[in-house]
Amino acid sequence: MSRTIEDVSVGDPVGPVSIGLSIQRLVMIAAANRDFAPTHHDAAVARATGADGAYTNMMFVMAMMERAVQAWGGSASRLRALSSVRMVAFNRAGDTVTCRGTVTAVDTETREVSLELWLETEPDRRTATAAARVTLPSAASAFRGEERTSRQDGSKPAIRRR
Amino acid sequence: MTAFAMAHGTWEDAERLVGTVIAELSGADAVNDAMVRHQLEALEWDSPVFTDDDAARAAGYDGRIAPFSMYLTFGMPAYWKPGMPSLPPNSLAPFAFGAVPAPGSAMLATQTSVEFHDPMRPGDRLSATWRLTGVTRKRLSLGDGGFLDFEVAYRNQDGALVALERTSVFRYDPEPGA
Repeated sequence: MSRTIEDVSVGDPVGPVSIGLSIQRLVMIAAANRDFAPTHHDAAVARATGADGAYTNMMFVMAMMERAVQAWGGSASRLRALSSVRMVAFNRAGDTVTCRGTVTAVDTETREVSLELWLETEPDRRTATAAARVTLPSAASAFRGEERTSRQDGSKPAIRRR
Repeated sequence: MTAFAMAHGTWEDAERLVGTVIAELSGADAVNDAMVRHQLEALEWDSPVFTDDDAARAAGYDGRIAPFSMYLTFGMPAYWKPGMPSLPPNSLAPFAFGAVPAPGSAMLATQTSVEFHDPMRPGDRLSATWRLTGVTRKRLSLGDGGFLDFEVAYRNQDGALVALERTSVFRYDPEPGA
């Protein structure tokens, strides 16, 4: 099921969605996103660069944000953009990372919602910040039909420009 | 091309490349269920649009898709393939941030924005066009250096835009003791 645009108000919370980081988890994440830079799984290398332990990368930040948006918006929500994604502190082995957010704007005409998103390892320690644009279905509209980008007829998909 | 080695030059060398394509890279792996599953497993991410065609169709897609945030993974070249020298220790991911000749031995990504367009479907092959869009010299507490701005367009085998990323990295000589 999916949240609809009519369900959403400015100020609504997004998340929390959490994951506990261990060296094992960092290795699973690196293997999955294929960023094998040693700072993301080797504590000694990470410490030599000034971090206090092996830490996650930008791909992890974006994936946690997408996961949180999807958990909030449901399957038919669609992430259109992540803007100004900044890593401001390290997500380290030993941390539990939580993605949270809040709704900052709702446009029922375009069915587009703006979100502020962040990762935190403690309530007062944010590690990444971003803004997101998400589209949601309308309770009334034929959302499913108009959102199909069909290749079933064998045609090349149009390049969608926004 | 390999994208590991950091190209060295002057800031004028870097500035001359503003507005040009500095690299065209192809993803080593087609979008596939196994790599998507590894990502879902690593993040304990439960969503049927990535695994179940019917659930994905009900959500408005043609069939199961990959997470939008995996565009970097599926747009990443191989770390090694036949004909390439052995991978040096402590290599970074084979992206093209280091391909711009400039002073400085260190690099730090400072900010990324990405628009998501067509979803990635199993079998899709991504390629990425890397364009340098700006060079701004700056001294930070980290060291003396400059911001390099990139626009990277990720397209699938049909030429459809999948993701358009704008990323800035700070290229610098680390300040002793910083």
